[in-house]
Amino acid sequence: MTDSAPSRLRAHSFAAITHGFLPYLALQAGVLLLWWPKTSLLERTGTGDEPATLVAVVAVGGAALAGFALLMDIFPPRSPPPGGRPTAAPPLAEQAHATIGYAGTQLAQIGYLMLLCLPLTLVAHAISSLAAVELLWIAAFTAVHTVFYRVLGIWFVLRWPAREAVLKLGCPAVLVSVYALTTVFSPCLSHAALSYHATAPNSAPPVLHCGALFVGSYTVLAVLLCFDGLRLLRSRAQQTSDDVAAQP
Amino acid sequence: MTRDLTSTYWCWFWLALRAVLQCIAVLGSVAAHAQLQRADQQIEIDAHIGFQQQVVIDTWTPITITVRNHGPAVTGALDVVTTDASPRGDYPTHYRQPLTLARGAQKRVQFTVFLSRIAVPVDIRVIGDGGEVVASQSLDLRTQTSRQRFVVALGRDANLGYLNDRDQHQLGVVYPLAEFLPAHWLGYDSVEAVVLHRVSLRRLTDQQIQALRKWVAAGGRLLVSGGHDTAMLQAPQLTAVLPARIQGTRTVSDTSTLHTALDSEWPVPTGSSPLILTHLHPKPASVSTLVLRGADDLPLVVEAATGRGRVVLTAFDIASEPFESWRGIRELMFRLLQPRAVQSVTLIDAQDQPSTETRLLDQLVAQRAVDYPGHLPVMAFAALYLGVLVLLVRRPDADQASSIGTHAVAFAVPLVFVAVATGLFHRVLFPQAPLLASLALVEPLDNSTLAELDLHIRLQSTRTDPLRVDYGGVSPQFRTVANTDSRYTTQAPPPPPTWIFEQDATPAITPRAALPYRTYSAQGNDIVSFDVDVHYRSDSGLELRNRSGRTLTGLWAFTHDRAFTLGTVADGETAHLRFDENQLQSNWRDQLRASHDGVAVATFDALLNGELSRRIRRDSDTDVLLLGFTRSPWQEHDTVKRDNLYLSVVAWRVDDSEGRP
Repeated sequence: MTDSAPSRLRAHSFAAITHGFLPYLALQAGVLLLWWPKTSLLERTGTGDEPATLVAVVAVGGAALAGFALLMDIFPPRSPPPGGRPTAAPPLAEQAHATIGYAGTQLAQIGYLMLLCLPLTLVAHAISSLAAVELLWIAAFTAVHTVFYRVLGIWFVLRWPAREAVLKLGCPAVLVSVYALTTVFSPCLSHAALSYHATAPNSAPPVLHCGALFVGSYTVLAVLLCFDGLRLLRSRAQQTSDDVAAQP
Repeated sequence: MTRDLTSTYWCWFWLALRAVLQCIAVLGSVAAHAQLQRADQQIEIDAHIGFQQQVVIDTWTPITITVRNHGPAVTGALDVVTTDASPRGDYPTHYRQPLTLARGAQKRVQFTVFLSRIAVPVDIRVIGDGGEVVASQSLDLRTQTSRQRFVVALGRDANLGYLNDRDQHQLGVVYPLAEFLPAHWLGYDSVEAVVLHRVSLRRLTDQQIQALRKWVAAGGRLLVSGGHDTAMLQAPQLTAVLPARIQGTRTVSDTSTLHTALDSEWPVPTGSSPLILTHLHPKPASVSTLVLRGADDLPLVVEAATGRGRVVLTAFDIASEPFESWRGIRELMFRLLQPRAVQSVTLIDAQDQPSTETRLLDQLVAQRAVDYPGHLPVMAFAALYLGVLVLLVRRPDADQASSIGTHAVAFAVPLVFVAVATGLFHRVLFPQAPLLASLALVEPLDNSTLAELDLHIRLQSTRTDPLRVDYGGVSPQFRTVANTDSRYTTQAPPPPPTWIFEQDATPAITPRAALPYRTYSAQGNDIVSFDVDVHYRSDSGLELRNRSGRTLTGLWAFTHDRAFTLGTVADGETAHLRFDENQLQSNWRDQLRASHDGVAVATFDALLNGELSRRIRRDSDTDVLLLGFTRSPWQEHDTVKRDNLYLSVVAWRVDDSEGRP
């Protein structure tokens, strides 16, 4: 199988995704245990010192989701051995309904990844002061964040079908955008910032009180990347049909 | 050129926008101020603080507020805000009562507040339903502070100016109107003595009578003047507390020996008409009864103990001739009143070290409340979750992406663990409900059916749950307790939290801001009904008659260096308990720990060492200390689901006047 964009942009199986995400989950579990409070509840309520367990778990989970979503097609998760058969998922087609189906599958897989993080997050939530509604907001922000990095990962594969080119990240504009986003809304910082804002709004610095800006930025960028990716697909499809027509 | 014009236009636009916004802000504040002024004019607030507008700092003080509504009907609350001082800074305390006023209506409400700061005025506010301040007034305390304690004189034509003493006794006589008398016994905190002189007690409400009675039991001095007019003495509200029965009047023509009976060097002047005295018949004598008798064995002064206070009844009119102009009246009155500080029950904010009550509450919470789950359950959960996921992906058909069953299993596994995490960690191992812990010390008063209640409460929450506590059974006046957090951190601890104390027929306490991971502490005192009579005799032992309405459990008697278990005495029972070797228990701590817990042992130890009460301590070989447990007299009405922890201790000191056991 050639290392081409359509062959790499395929819907991975849930088993493969789970297998590939297990190390990240283990990391999240490790953070949960490391940040689990070591002093008693009595001492913490006496000083108003809330454990930072949920913040740490959400930050690691968000970073893991963003990283996995970004690299899922650059380094596709392999099927688990033994007994696993090669994935027979259909490659990305250049038809509208297939594209829509592919997008739906990606969203379902992102939802599944978030669901995988949820049990450990709920354990940390049990000892935090966060209300359930605020946890839902953090989940919504995390979903937007993850969708953006998923779209970015797909766009990388479409822009540079060869993996080496992707890894080199030769386009200066892309480099600047990614580094800017990473600096301002990096996975760890944004999730931790949102967590702090939700759990301790009085202590968060002003720059972090910008959830709408965060959502807007990532949504707009994701939409732009989608449009560019669709344009790339259409141009490749046109080129392929031209090549076929030119054959004697 | 175009760019310059554009930037200029933008510059002017932003300037204009800023000017418009500033105008709107100014107009808005003017309108709000005008609205508030209109509201203030529609609602009149008239406040009377202390006694004759005088207050003593660091005491509980009554504030009587009259609110008149000239505008639309108002439904909300009347809020009195005082400022307390602590080592970690000042903090406000809110006292609140609901208020409903129709147009043209007037209402009088009384609060009992603790004043500790002269420089900060007391704010009185009418708050509407939506939380907005409808009317407000500030009371400046700087011009109303007195350095003297008060002698409250109630009565017609009573001139007790001779009791003013700025030097030795620091006393000032005040003549308050009946409607401004405290409705809570702690309102008399700055009062040294109360003198009743020919006053109609019908002008006092039942609450005011009860407050006066409780204040006397807590250590106050009540002097009741007799004379030819016995109407006041026959009032049913007074006869129960008087140390003598009234049997009409007697005429005394020879006053030459009166001063001898009253232990004065100054003869009582002979008046133009015979002297009419109240004929007193002292009630059955107790150890503390004092009777000064004149000629013909006529009682002139009868004094008896009531709880920790004393009631003095004179057969003569202290404010009428001949005694009003008698040279010896001042000396006699000071001797009868014995001015001294009433044992204040107000709590001083905790110092650097936690108080005994705080330590006991800590122990109560640590022993009985839920703490964080340990690392083991978390580790086991995480390991199980990851292990199941590994098994899931290693299934032979795990990679069939198109299989609906595979998808279902893939989603079901984390969903099951979501349910387990919620049920196990959110419900079982670490419940989310806030915690209310209370320590109540009940000390029955001698010669009284009352007891002193010292109540310490602590509210603890990990979330921003509502923490309001509605209660009944008792009506303590609460004060904020500053948590001593220096045990746990080297950082500066937060200032004490702000409480709202609702003082009305359905009292409640609630933190003003329910912040997560905070502990809210308060302390309150009250005098409660607690009819338990205890006598000790060397031949028959201890006799305990329980008519308190509660069962007394875990009763132990401590004398000298020995402990005797006395068990349980139910309500209505009279128990006779002998101190014999069969009941001697040298390992009382082990037994108490087995029947109750370590907190009970620590509480008993604190009482025996005198750390928990200024009055209950084993400091004499002849004293017998009775310690036990009972249902808390402070009853919460559980409108909020909480974990409640109680520790309610009853403690007596019984003087052994007939020998040791």
